[in-house]
Amino acid sequence: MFDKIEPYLYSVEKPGRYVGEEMGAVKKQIDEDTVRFLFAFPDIYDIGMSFVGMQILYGLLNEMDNVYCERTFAPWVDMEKLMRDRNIPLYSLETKTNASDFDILGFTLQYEMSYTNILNMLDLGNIPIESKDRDDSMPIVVAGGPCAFNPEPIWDIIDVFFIGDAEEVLPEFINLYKNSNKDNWNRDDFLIKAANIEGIYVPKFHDVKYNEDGTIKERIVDSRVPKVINKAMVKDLNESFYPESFIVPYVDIVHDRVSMEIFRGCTRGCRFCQAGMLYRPIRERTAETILKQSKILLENSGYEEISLSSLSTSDHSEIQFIIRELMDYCYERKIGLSLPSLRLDGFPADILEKINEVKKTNLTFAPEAGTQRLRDVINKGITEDDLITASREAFERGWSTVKLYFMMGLPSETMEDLEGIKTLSYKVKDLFFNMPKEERRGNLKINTSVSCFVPKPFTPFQWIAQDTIEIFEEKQNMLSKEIRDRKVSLSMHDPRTSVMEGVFARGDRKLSNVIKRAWKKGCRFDSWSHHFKYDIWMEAFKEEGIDTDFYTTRERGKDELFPWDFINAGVSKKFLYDEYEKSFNGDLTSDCRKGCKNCGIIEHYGKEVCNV
Amino acid sequence: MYKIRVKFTKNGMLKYISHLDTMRMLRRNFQKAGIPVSMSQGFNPHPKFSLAQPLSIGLESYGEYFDLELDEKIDCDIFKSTLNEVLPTQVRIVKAEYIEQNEKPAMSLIMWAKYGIQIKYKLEKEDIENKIESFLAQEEIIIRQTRKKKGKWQTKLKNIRPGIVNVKYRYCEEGITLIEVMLNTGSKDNIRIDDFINAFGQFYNIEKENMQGIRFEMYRDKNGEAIPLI
Repeated sequence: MFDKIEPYLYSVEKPGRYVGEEMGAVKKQIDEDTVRFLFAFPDIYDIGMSFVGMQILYGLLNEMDNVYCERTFAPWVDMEKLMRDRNIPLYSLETKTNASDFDILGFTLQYEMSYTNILNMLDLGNIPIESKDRDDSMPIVVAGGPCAFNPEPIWDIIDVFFIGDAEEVLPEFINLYKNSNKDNWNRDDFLIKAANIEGIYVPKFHDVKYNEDGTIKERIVDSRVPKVINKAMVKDLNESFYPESFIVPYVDIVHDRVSMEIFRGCTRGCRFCQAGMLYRPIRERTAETILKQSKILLENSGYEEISLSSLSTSDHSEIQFIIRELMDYCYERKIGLSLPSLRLDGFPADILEKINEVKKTNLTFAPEAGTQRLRDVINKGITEDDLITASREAFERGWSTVKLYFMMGLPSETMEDLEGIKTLSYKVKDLFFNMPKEERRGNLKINTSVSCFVPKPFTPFQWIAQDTIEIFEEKQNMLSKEIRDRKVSLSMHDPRTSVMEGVFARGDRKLSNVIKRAWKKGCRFDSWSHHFKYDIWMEAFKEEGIDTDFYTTRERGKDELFPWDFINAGVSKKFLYDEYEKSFNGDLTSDCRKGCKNCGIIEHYGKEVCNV
Repeated sequence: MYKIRVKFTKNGMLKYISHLDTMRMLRRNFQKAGIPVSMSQGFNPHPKFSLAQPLSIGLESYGEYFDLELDEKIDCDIFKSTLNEVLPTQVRIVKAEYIEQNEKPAMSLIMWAKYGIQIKYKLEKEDIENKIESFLAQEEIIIRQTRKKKGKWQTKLKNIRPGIVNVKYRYCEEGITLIEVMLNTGSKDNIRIDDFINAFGQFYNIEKENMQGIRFEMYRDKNGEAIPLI
């Protein structure tokens, strides 16, 4: 099969994406009993290979006896054309096996705008795109990741959703598959058993009834499966699996480095942040584990850069020690250390200065909103002083490029808040030029990036109305008129993409037909601005009789039943609503470490799971 | 500081790995193997290391070279074996030797490269030799080069005939015909094998996907004689 396409690979961009054989890729004996799992990332190789979750699951599954996990990615448009022209189905990189020959095909749902790619990959794999059309010979199509917390827009595409930490639920699911009776295989029997594993949702056993206004009336759940899906959770992250080697791609990928996850969860409680709510409670790896793992991974991969990953890196309880130790190790070997997701308060400029000696890092500060009032509404918990102090420290230590990250369209936003984005950017600029000339180093560049806010499920803002495209555009126009400075560059995204993301983020089952229709009309790679076909999407909505405003610009009532309410993410709806109400007055909720906020996690999982 | 010149092969699916990706892969393996590579000073230190000549994507090679600077002198055989232990099996170090401090970089020494072209047809010796003869008898062989320059695609025409040193029929086995081609290569004049394959394929009416190029060796000029780099 692969032989048929191999001689033509020279004609596509970066053919290295499609051949596998990277260092760290696993070769395994396959026999009749081997459970064959195909990990599918619904975007190109360069992005999928940067995703550390793939490295974890790949390592975890391939450690299991009689399980072989392989990989596949969305082929770029040139390769898709070649595959369709030459009649080559979607195949795995490791053994070049057709996707349809696998037992389980697993997608990761990292962003809503990848849904059409899932349909396209199934289609390229000669697998029916709808769950109901797949017979026993077809792979079980599973999906997990953050978007699985609202799985409904693709409910009839995916057979099985994993809600929560996949390390916990995936091995159990695969063992169930392994031990199921092959001679008398029955897809439905298996799915019912699977649906009884904690963290698994099988949409075909749920039915949804709607009110006339389009909101949900009730869910009718088959009595053989649970009504509420509790998220799966790794209770002790320190003891959980982390790979000892990464697959090291030859092709230049987006994040080409070792990524060491130092903790999961976040205690800050920013009201716009979905990850901060979904991944509660905070669970740390110990400094000892982190240092040991980091060194093993660096040695095994030969990578020249390591990144400590988490939602808020400086919040690890032993972060000073970890960075000091790791830096000594890296400094000697000229390995770059990168610390994304640093908060402005307690910005460790002295540490970064040393890190910078090996590899110059970029600084991103995220005030998120332009005024203190609005930052309080979103519970960001940082002040203008924090930004000024951090910027001063950075400039004094030789940085001259700073990225400032903001959002527009946050609830209660006024023109004053938008002007605040300009004011803050200019204050940072003045800080630089107010330094004595001889102390200024480099050429100042402030990159002010403003994205359009998308309200997400399981956040205190799940009730709010998102701005319309017109309002976003108006705000963008205003900002680009206001910010005119050689030293401050403003970057903004297409609001149409953010609104589309907003539709699917809080979407329901009615949207799946729209996705199918849009894909049939040629939509794919919707997260790539030059492939995003807004007009075609609008056509698809119209033809399905769906008004996007229902999902985006509609403020929800307190008691509205949401499409994702049957999922228990650990954080209670009451806590989220209380937080929502507090936001009206800009009342702050302090860090969990300063006292439990009763978000619901402890009630459900017990006190010992929370590392605060 | 010591300078070592290294010859390596690159086969299998790694033929789809680009020049820059190959450099990065080698660099990571120096690190993995613990080779004491000299690093440049400055904000982004990088190993003092240069590949002799880019290899087009899609080509296997038996004669690639790089120069590397080392902080410590290590035995050539040990250098070879420690690196081969960590390198992917599709890349093999075949030879390594120390060169003089003042030796010119490999990149500027290379004058010619020898390629094989596997044609996936059974062709009669006489037939192909005649074709080669008439191909070479052309006064000009014009190819169209499309390059991206400053974000814009530019097309220019080039006569590659003066850069073709010779073309020889080698053998035909199991339905595959092999010809051997010597081309000007390097900083003075550089003929890309892709351009030769396109021109020859067009002349002979053979599709590109049925001609697989292989680089055999790269040569320097020693008193008018072509000798392998090391």
